[in-house]
Amino acid sequence: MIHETLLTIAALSALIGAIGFFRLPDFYTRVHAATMVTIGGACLALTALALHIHTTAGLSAPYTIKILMIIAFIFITNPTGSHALTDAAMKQASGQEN
Amino acid sequence: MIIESIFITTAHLLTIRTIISPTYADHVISIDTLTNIIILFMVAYSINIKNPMYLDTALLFAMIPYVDVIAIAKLVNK
Repeated sequence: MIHETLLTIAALSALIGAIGFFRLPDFYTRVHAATMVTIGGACLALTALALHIHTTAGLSAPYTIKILMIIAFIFITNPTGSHALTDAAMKQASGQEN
Repeated sequence: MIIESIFITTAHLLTIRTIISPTYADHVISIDTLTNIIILFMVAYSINIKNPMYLDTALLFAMIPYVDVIAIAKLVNK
């Protein structure tokens, strides 16, 4: 029940993020839409898959541990990467030396 | 069924956006986002065939685009 709800929210968030990736006018707003696809779509769906393994699928513990490692790694790396890329694009647009 | 179709549609929209995007940073951020959708498909396939081999590949796939994004962001302002 709860993993189906999480999967539905993740799919809607990913679709809204992808549409916003087309519709938004600026790079800095498109980064927001891309991060919404990653965190709200992929990470939430991975959480739903981990819950699905833990409750109904009957698989062993390394599946859950590895999926939680993937979720933690995406949660750490995706905001830092987006911040670094936005910083570089802003410095290049304003002509400032690094 | 519907949820898989929505994620596949998202991946196709991100691919089209990667091709037609105007600047370099749009290419980089859309490929980074597409990689996360690919990680989700890998984990779902690994659960479907009951083989944990693809989870290690998915963990490596989570690491490599981060290095790419940081390297390109450092390379642009040289």
